[in-house]
Amino acid sequence: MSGGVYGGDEVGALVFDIGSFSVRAGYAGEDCPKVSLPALCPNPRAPLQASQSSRALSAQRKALMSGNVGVNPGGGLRALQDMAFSPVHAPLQADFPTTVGLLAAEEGGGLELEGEKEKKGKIFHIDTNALHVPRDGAEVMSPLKNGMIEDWECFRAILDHTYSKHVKSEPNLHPVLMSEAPWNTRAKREKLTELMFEQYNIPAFFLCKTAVLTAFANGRSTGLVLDSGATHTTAIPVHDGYVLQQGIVKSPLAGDFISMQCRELFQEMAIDIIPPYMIAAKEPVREGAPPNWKKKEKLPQVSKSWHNYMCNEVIQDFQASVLQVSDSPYDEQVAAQMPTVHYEMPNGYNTDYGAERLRIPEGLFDPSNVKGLSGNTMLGVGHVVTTSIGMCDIDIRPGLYGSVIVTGGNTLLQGFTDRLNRELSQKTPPSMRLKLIASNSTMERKFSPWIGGSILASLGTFQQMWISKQEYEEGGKQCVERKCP
Amino acid sequence: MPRLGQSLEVGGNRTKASGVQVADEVCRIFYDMKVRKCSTPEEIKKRKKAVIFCLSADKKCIIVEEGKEILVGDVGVTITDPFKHFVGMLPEKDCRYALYDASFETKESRKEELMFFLWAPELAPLKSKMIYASSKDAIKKKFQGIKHECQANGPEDLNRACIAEKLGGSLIVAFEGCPV
Repeated sequence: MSGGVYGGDEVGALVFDIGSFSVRAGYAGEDCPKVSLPALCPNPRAPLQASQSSRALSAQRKALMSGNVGVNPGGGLRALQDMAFSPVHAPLQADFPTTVGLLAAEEGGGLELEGEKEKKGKIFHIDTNALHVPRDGAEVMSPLKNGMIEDWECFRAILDHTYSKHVKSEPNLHPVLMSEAPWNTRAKREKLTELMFEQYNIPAFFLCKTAVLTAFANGRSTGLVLDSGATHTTAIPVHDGYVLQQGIVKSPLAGDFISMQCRELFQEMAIDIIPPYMIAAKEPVREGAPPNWKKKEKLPQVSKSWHNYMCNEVIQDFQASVLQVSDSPYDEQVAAQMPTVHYEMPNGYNTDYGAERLRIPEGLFDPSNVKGLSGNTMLGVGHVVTTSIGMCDIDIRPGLYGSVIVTGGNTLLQGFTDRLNRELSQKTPPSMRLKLIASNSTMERKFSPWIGGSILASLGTFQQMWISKQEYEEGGKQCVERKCP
Repeated sequence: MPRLGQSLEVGGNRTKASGVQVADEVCRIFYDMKVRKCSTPEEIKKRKKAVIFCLSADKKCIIVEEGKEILVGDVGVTITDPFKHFVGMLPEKDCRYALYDASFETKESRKEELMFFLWAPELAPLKSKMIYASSKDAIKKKFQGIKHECQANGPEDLNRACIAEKLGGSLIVAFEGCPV
């Protein structure tokens, strides 16, 4: 085809997949990031605090974790060790936290340090390296709320950062494909379109729903996409490439909920969560013994929200390596017999975890026993799926049950898919065939919307589907509603 | 600057998600399979029982796959089980579209109806799955009036029981001459 303006295969389109936990960005054309280990920010500086090897490892672990690397649940420390010493071959890939540090500085002047963006006296610290530096009074915030963009200034700062530090090229040279939440409102879509064309002057734009991209990436145009991420677990029915809005079911029981439960566990067990930034030195201690560590002197007065964010990172590492979902409803006796897993905190405290490993994630599937939730009618993951399918036309339900696609970082918890399979098999009407599709690759689970978008944007035939700048100028921002259903 | 890509929606908000085109030959074959003209026995033998479609080498167009078809005349002569033969023609590690002329029996009658297949096995490369899934709408739009559609992601989706289920559920008593 006569590639038109955008040159067919030499498009160099950018794909953005912006989630509540992390931002995924990169060039279109890769069907899977070409790495021997999960995608890393191109320059992860592992700040080595001291020469002791265990500390070096935990510092590297911290750097890897904060790059939102896919941690193999159950693989724990050894998996991280393997990853730390393998070479990185990623072509442009950016995967960094959506949370940004915000410093409302009185003095607006000064050096523009890496990762900082000045906007009307506010300095945003974006991306792992900048975010992890303790600063006086820097608050932590996220531009997203409920999966949709809420704080546009912050969002712009993230985009600016991506363009200058990762893409390293002018925005007006690259068409942009963005993923969006299936429940995104019309106003926000139009505003986003306007922002991209007016502020960034991009040549072409397209918005695609995450669930549709995920379904396509799995070779299906009809199916139920179960996306369990940081903030939400949602079931989104897709039929013939089209999201059935009336069937979307959302539940707040997801990664962040589990983190909260872990926090409570540590409180109960009287374990202090000390993030690595506070630790100047530590000594190895025996299992279960109180930690022996020295606090860094002259730490800046960090804000509570920032400190909490750093603690959450520690908890997320714990969550990914220690927790496991039991494959049948939680039972005290059975859980007590499960093998324990050893875990060491950044401050040196280390111990074994047994029944707690299974008890905490149980809340995802059976919220009835969770403290603080009783009285609330929260749906477990199995119910989210069945409710969603139940809200769809009866004729398409067999198609949905036959293609339940599991995606999202939270689903990487060990045992998640097996338990889900079990729950759904019990709840599926006897006449229906159930099939669960869960990719084994960490990359595909976490990044399936990005990968789908990458392939779509690189197709030669897709080039005619973009909203071009000319169309935008002629049709206004309403054209997004028409061209990106 | 020429305006590319007219919006292709017809009375709805759906677009061909990937922009892939459908070759004319594909439409012609569909039409021949759908419309049963009164024909001589010779012509009946040449009618297609099953056809497989794939993407062209440049991935921009859906075309008929060479040599991958079953003629009505072959059934009973060189091929005993047409459906099994059809499944055998599908590649193990790549995606395809297909049309199959299914003959089946209910208690009341015997029927022959067209089925559309999207074959996207798990072993296929991700890019392939993506293109075929997103272009399905494009080819399906050309096949107006098809009643039965099947999304198959592995051989387990293509056993006789599943197909019979899709054709009419519990009303089906026989498929391709054999009881279900």
